[in-house]
Amino acid sequence: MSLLSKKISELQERTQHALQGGGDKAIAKQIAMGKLPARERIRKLLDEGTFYEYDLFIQHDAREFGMEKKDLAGDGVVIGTGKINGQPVAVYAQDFTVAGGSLGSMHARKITKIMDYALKMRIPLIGINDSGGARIQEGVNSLAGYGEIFFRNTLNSGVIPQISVILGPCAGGAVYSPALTDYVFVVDKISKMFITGPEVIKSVLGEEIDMESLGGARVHCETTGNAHFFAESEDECFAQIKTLLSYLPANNQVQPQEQKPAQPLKKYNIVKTVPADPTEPYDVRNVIKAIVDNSEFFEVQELWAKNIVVGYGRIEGRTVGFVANQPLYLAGVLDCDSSDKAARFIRFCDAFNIPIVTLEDMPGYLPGVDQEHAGVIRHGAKLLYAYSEATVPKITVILRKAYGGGYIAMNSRHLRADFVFAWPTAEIAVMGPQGAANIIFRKEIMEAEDPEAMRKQKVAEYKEKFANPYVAASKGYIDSVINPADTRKFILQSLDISQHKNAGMPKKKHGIPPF
Amino acid sequence: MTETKNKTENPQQQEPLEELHTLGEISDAVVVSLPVPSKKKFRIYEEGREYKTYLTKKFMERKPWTAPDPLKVLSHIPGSVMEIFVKPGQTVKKGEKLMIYEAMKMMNVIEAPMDGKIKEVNVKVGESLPKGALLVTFLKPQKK
Repeated sequence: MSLLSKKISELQERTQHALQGGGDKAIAKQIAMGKLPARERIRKLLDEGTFYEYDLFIQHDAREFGMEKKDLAGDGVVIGTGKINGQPVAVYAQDFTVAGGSLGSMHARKITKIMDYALKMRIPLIGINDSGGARIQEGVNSLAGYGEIFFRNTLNSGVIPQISVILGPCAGGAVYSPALTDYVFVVDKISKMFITGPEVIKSVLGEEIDMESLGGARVHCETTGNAHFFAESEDECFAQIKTLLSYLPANNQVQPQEQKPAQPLKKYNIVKTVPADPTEPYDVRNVIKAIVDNSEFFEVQELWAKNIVVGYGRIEGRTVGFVANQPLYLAGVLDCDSSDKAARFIRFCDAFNIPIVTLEDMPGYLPGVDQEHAGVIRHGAKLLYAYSEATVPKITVILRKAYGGGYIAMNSRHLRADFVFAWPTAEIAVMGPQGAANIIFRKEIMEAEDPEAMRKQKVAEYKEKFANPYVAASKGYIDSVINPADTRKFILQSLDISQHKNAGMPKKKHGIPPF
Repeated sequence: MTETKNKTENPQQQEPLEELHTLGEISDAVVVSLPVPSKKKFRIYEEGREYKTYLTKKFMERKPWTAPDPLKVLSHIPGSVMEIFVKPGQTVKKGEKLMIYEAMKMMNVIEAPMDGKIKEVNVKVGESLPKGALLVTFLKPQKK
């Protein structure tokens, strides 16, 4: 054997050893839990044969509690680069088979290395989380590692898309990396996220709750809003990530990749979808599907704050972000959660050069003590802030109801919408006809012989006069009243016109959104 | 205002437990509040250490978590019942219309969250309801 082949065979042996992770037994246990091993996950997520791994031979540097005798393959995390949809990405995956994927200082250094790569190369970062938490034996070095990751998440925010995939436990401080990233993917029965687990909650507060109800995938998709995409299996989750990335640019300096233009499917008829009677509910997603190419709409946070719909579609091949009130749930009102959801989505679109189309049909902000005490003033303000701050092309279509503060918040002309269109069914006014008539004509109604008849007459009068798009049109607050059937045409033309839009904000370090 | 001091002896010997309201207990950690809850003081003994702290109003008034009952259909928004389509004893499929519930100028359709039999309709047409009101109760499914 020549010296070279000896050296190569040594490399192969070392590689083989490192690739075994926690060994066959630990891998079998991982699979028994319904989870894939870390490298298998990466292989399934990336385009075939595109993954290149770095830092395979990293050794941990703990010297206490007998750790110096332990060999932890790759220190429990896999990092590297590859491609998704033919586009470069940086990726890391915690390996639960090695010391429970616990985070020590070298483990963290591998993650921060790939994060720095991603930023320098201006490519999306995907982190697969599957870890028991901090490696206790490494003490404060482990905490330092988390801190270095969180700092980079913040640094990268708004420059490259950052995606977190929770495929196992992610508890305690570890949850803050996903929380700082743009999109969190979870899988039913596999993902677990919480700051303090059921045991601590029981000991401190006496409340009993199981892990799934506390921080399972469904809870984070439906109740907390911490996660954005719910999948039944890891495979479905990887497919969702690929779809999401197809809509996004690699970084904030470029545009999303254009796809082949296509028409919406015929079965989505925009005119037939929306009832003219403003009290009749409908699914606003069918309106979006009647507008976008191939009727393909990729919804973000589908299960949380369902009274507002956000997500991506394409018009003539170009990515567009949609924000739409959903009359099907809670009458499409704005509230704390829906404001938070939309505001974050708008800021993402604005950071990554994605035009925003707003479809408006809402009666206003949700009344109620719980909303007021939950701080709907502060939460609602986020929506105003996000729309006002956004400088990407902003197009609003008012389908039916646009009342009060909600009218202003939903990307009105006054927040510098570039184009505002209204359907003839639009009602743009300070409040609904019932409430308005009761206030304006209070005296007449009270003094009438038949107050109820007078009230009805005045409501009808108000409706006739104000519950339409023409008062707002007469002031130039909307640009055109359009035939609903022409909605796609008008949006497309607006997008064409605004391709070179150049609207800035005054120079500042950063604004202070009402967090 | 927080104060921390080391304690090695069993905290229960310092403050007799019967005078205190115990909120929970696990292994060597004991959590107790002072006998006068109105003072909103709280002592936490954990792993031999004692923390003294004030509690916030929001913390004192928090509602403990209870598991949602899948058999109960609740209102998600304040509103009023316009029309009811089901009767007790009726079998419904998931997604079937239970009632029309007007809220925020919208005729919302309340759908059955599951296949099952209606045990009780807990509201009447015309009733105005707050958020979280019980609308319909399902019968516990029989085990086959």
